Amino acid sequence: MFSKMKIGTKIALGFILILLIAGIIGLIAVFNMMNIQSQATELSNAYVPEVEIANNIQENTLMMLYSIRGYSLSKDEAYLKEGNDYLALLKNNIKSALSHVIENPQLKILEQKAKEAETKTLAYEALIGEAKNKIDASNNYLAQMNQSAVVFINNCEDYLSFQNEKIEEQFTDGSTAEELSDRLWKITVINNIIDSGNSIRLDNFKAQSTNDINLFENTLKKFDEINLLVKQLELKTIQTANINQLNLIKSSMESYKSAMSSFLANWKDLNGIQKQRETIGQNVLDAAKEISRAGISQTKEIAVNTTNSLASSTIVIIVGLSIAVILGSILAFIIIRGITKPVNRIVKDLNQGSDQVASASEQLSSASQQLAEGSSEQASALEETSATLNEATSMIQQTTENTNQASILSKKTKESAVSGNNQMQEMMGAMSEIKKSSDEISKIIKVIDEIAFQTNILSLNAAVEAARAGEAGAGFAVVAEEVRNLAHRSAQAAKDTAVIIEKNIQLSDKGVSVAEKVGNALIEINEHATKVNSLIDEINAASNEQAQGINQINTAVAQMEQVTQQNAANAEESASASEELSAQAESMKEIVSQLNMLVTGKDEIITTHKATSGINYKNKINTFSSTAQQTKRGLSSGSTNNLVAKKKSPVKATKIVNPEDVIPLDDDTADF
Amino acid sequence: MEARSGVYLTFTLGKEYYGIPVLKVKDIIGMVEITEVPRTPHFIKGVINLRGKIIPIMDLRLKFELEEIAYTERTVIIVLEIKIKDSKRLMAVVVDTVSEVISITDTNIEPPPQYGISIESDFIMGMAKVKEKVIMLLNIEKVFNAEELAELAEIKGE
Repeated sequence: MFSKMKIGTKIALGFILILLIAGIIGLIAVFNMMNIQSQATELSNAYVPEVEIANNIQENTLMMLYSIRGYSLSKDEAYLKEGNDYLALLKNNIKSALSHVIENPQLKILEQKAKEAETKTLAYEALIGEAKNKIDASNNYLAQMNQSAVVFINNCEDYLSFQNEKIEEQFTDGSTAEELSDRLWKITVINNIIDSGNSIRLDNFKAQSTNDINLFENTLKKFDEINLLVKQLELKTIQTANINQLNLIKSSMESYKSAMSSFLANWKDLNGIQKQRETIGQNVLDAAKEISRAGISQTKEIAVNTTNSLASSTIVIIVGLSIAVILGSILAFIIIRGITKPVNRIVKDLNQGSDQVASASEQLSSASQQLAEGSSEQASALEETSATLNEATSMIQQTTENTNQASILSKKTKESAVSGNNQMQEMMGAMSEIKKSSDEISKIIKVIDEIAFQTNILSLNAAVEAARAGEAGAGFAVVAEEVRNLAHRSAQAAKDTAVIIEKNIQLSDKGVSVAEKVGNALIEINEHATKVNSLIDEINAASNEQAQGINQINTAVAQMEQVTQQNAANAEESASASEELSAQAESMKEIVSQLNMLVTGKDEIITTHKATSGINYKNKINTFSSTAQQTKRGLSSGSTNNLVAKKKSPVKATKIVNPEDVIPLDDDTADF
Repeated sequence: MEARSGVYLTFTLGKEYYGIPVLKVKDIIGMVEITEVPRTPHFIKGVINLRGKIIPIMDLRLKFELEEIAYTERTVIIVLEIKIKDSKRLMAVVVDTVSEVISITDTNIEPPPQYGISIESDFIMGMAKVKEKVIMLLNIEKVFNAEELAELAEIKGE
């Protein structure tokens, strides 16, 4: 079907198919791209901001936690301010997260976690306030401690300096050893008190700086030791000034202790707050992490989806393109083949045609020449034919005479057969009469036989009677015997006659049947003679027609002579015409080769075909010339008879295969 | 023993020749119409009308248990006069052919062959030799036994 299309239709069909494939691929690609674009938009509008917000929340939370921890460790207001700034930022982040949720309601996790973060942040803010209060209180306690410490150390030093003065006095005024050792003891004790006080402060600062709450608690126990020492001093102290000093030492120590205790309580509270803060902070961080994880997982999902759809669209495009390329190649191949093949074939055919025309024209020219030669030969042959025909005419006349005589003879035969038949009929009549009389004779003989039988019985009866009569019947018995003998003889004669007559009857029957056969044969002879007569008449008519035919042949031969001469002239003309045809064929070949160059770009076909066609042509010429030679030989060497035989044989073969087909001999001869 | 020499009428059944004393023969005729009588022995063919007399007719072939043959124009009936219980009766016998009337002397007659008591051969009086032929001379009364003779008497119907 495809091969029967127009070239234009074929090309258009091919392009339409390829465009269709390209269009389908393009549509698939566009659909995929749109899908990817919508996912990318969602990514940039929803999930990336979500992750960004989560990151901001995380960052700000961490910074806030860090600042507030710094504040709670260092009690530095600057940290607090910084922490509050981050808190404000965090709140803003959460707000923006909530507003983002409103814009993108599909972000359920963000909504949930942002709300959680909001409540936690508020709680955290409250805890910051609480911590600030505690820290302020702690600072007050520290101031109280410092104040108490100053009072303590001043009074202790006053007490020590007083004792030192006293001991120097005692060294000079020569007091007793007892008094001196007493004074030395006081100095030692007050020094111990000072040392303990210092050690408490040192431990206090050390505990604060290392944030060691146990050390702080242990330090509180050291006050009992100092109290003990002060009480020992009170017992030995007499001077009022010293007693006041000791009282101040005691009160300052108590104040210090109470401040420390309060500080400890505050510290513990702060630690609790710290823990809560950390948990809450951690919660906020976790929420932020959840958000960012959700965002990232969604982003990942979309990215994977996008990658998949990109990959699939890539595959589709690759497959489609490959199909398009393969199909396009096949179509192009088919179309080009569909165009070039027929054109090639046409060129080939044209080429062959022109070759054949060329060779044919050459053959034609040689054939024309041979025709011219043949015509002259034919003319001479025709003369011979004419002579032969004359002979044939005389022969046919002879035949006519013979058939006339045969006709007369067959008529006579017929007459004889008719007369023979009549006589035969008569003979048959005689035969049947003989048969009739024989039958009558046999009847008579039967009667005679019957009579003989009866006579026999009578003679026997007579013999019986004679026997009964005894001697008297002896003569009668002789007579009876004689009668019996006569009866016997006549019976025997009748029997013999009957046999002969029976034979007669049989013979006459046979004669009748033979006569009937002879009659039939005569009738057949009659019929056949009639047919022979009619056949001879037909032969006669046929010979007459033959004679006429030969006359016609004679005139035809004369005409043939004329025609032959005309043929010779025509042959020469056709020879010149065929040469012209040959030249035309050459120019046609040239055109075909140009067409071939146009289609295939090479000149192969023509050359190869030239070679083969040349051989064919030669072969044909050879066969032709050989047949021509044969005819020539036949004509030159053939005598008149030979020629007649040659001329007759094809006519026989073609026209009269069997003479019985023309002359209906079958029916007539079958009965002979 | 009866005198066997005498004049005999000879006839044939098949190839064999038989003889009957001429004095027993009443008549020789050709074949006539036979009226069949039911419930008679198979060899009794029926009765014939001989010049106004009803006479039983017997096929001797059947009586002698020979093959039955169809009757022809040449078939002959011999009318015999036989003695039954001291009265004479006529009896027709069918034979193949009648030959001749001849006289046979005692020297040419030989007694019938004896086979024993069981086979009755009383009805053959003797075997006559005439011109190379053997003629069986029949005692016609002995051909029938007493019962058959009684039946024949009944058929006579007198």
